[in-house]
Amino acid sequence: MPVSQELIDRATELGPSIADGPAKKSWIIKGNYGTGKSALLQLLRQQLSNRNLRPIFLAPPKKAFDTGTFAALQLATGLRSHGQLNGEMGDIINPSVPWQQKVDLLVGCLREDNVVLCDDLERWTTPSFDPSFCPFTHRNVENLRQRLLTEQRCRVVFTTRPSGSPEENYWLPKYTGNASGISFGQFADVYHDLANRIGVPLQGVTWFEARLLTAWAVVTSPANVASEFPSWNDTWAIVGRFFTAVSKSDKWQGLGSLLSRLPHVRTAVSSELLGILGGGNFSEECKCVATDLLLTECDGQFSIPRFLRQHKWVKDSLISKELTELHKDLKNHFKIQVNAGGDAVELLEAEGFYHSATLGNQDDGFRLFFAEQLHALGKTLSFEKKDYAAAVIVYRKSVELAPDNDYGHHYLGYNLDVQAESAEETESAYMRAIKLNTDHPWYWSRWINFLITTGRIGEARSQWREAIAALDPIENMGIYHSLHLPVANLLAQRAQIDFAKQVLDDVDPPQLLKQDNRFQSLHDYCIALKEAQEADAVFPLKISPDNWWTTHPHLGLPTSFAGKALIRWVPARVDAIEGDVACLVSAHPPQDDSPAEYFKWTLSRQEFNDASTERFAGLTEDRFLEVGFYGADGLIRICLHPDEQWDNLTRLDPPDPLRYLRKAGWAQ
Amino acid sequence: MMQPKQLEDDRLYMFVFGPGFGESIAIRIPPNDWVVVDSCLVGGSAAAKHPIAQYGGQLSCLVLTHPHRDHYPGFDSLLELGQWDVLGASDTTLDIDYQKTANPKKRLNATLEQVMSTYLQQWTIRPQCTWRTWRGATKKIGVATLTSVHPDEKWAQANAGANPNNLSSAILLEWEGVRLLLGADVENPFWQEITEKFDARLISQHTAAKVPHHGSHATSHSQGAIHKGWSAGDDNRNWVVTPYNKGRGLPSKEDGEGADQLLDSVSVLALTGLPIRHSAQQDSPCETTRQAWRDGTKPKPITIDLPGDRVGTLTQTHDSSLKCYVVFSFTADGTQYPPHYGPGSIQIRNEES
Repeated sequence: MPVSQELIDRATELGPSIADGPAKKSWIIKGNYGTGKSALLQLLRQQLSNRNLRPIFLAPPKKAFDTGTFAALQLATGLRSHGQLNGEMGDIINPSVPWQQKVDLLVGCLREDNVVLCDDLERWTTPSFDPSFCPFTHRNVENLRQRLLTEQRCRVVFTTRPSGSPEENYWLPKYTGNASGISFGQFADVYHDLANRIGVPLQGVTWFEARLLTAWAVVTSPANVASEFPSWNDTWAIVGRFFTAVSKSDKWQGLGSLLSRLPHVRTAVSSELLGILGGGNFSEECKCVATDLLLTECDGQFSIPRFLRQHKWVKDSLISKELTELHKDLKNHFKIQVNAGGDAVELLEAEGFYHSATLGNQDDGFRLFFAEQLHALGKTLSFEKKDYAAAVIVYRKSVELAPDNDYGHHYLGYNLDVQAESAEETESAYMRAIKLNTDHPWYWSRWINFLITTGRIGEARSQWREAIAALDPIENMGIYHSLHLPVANLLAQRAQIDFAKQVLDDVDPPQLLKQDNRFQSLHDYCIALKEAQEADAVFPLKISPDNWWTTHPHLGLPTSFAGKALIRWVPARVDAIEGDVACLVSAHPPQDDSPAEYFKWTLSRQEFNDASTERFAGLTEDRFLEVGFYGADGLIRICLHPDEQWDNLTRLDPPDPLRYLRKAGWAQ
Repeated sequence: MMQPKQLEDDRLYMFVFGPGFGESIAIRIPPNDWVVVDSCLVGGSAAAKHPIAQYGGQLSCLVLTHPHRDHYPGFDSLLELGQWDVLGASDTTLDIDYQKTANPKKRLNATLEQVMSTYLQQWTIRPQCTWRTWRGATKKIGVATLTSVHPDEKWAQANAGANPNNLSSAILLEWEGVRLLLGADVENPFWQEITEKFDARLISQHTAAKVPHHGSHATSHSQGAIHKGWSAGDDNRNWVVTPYNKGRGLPSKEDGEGADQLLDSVSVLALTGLPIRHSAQQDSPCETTRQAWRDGTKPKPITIDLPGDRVGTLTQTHDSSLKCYVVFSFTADGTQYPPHYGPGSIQIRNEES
């Protein structure tokens, strides 16, 4: 995607301002996605370089285990390109050297004439409620970010989305609605056709959106896009329609192939790799739409914008096998690139390591630079390949390299725990993770569940109290889902009802118990089991305790039978079958403050067969039924609940609470 | 006479709980060792917790005779009381038939997972606490000796899928001149084998017994638990039966069955309770005859009328009071003291006696 004149103008305006400004200062470029912040940053790199400054561009992959790796390597290779880091590179890529030491080294090398350009800085770290959140990476990245911003060893320019508070030195690219400044490459005519059909300039759209609409018009027709304008309500919707159009067309198969595969490469890619990713049907026309309208380009390297990278279509477009093949291709591609060498070969190697790790490969010849890179490998081995033993080896190495790696300790514990392997090492790993980081609900919940699973319920209670004291629900938004839910779930499934209720009672706001199905199921389950423990059970689990004592039966008992009205109904459970007699347990509903009253009674084979469409011969212990009484002489009708299983609780993780017992041969 | 206010230092006390579903035995061996066999819920918690909490003492030995669901409710909370010196069990295999059932009552069986997990963990880190209660295995608790009389290890391992009752651990406890037979749920034909393997007098000449398997009698589908090998002997032995409320229930009150057969051997039979609510719930004890019990005259079951002349019998539920227990006590020379009967328990004689 060629850069627009308007952005060039902005860069020309801002570049001197930065260059002439104080040497130890930060500039913030604010703007919504699609407004051209990243492109502007790239332009500034050239501008600043021309003014004898030494820019270093940092754009690590977002929300990744190896964000810190890339940020540090980009800084290191940037410094090296300016001749500021040569002999020290060995320490930077030595995985045994602690992160802090590497950052000291890198920040220490910065000079007043450096300008660190950080793209989309706020998204370098992942929010703690995000499933991909890794506290270890988060801490490392945050540490680097803070050091860059607070030590003021050089100029720092970073991009971010607009925020509420006005800050000094911000510069927000504004879209004027003047499309004349936007470059559409060879598709300018299509754009103008589209703009004419719509009848007004594409006012209010971002530069990215203007190009995307043009690409859509190329793939379908200006008339088609114009007819739908402006029925979309946001950028994601336009991207979705564009992707759908691409998917439907044979002609644009190569473009679809590229757009589904490119998001899996986290670095800027060469024109050659675009061709590889586009596959056999990647025509010249496909390539032009991609490079002129969709991708950003800098120094002959192409990147895919966030809206195209993160759209749901991308996630859904490749089946698992295709994704595996893609990572294989990319791993091989980067292997060749690494062997070919170059200025930033470490970055290529780190990307190669990532693809190899995503495949679960442990020895593809890529060097390991940072302990955090092992997490992608550990995750693939553990969660996708279910090769927990191999994952254990990876996480052991990770914590050996970085003893302060709480995430590594936790998943070392988890992968041992799943296998019911070495309870002692599991305990030590879980505890170490918590000692290093008391703020992570998952660490606590897995540790507490380990104690429950291994029968250490007293310790589980004590650790539960410690967890509650350590975790602040206001700061840890996910605490109820990450701590309370898994702990209460295991307790309930282990029939530790009082403890489970204690955990659920701590959920605040209590409405969560009613609003979230997972909590609701657990809550109901605990009530049903408590009632069964203290009294008996006359309703199957599928009937919520809230609905036990309705005025009408739950099954299809008629309101009248043989001309007689239903005068009463009772729920029942078959307690035993003794010869021709079914022994039932029934109950009367609770009244005022008195609990339900349970009683036993019997039905003969004949009575049952007369009252039910089912046969006594098929009746088994523990079937649930409802009995309706008709008329004063108590004619009865019986309906049975289906003889079905109930499995409505959240899946446990680790999934098998019997694993230690199975390993000992105590459970099959 | 309700629970003793305090325990005499020189006496062995045998508390037997049985509310209708489940049983638990708590034995205080002088001076302060507690041996607990199995668990059930009474008064809202594990029955054996009540005497231990009330009188204090050492958590010396805890035994799970077999993994049947009337023997382990609350067992997990006994394990949580503290570190038991000895944890006994023979059959440690879990029958996982409850994991997806729609029946909440059956889901409570998952308690056993917790129990077995604790056993596994404790046996692993404290091998000295392990007591595999195979036949002939003994444990010294203070000056008392516990001997498992059943099951035979080889038989058990060759018959892993057998009825858990037949794999249950019957135990003989000997303290000075006192001998207690804790019959677990062992049924026939195994009592014959037990009396052959051990000195028959050891088995039959006991001071007191928790009657095996709820005093079950032989029927078309069971050989029952009553056997002369343990039942023949003096009629002043102290027997206590824990009832079982499933179906028609155990022990049978009918002529020639269960209780009637037991009363052929002893003059008084103690029942920890009845599975139903009855008219003499507050008497302690409810003294009656088997015939009056059979006829429903004393105690009278509390019934509920259903349309069409149908009648239901109220069951024991939602009760936080301590009830359904019998307590025997003996000094070292075998002298027995008047038993304590808790609410709901009954003392039965035959009319002719």
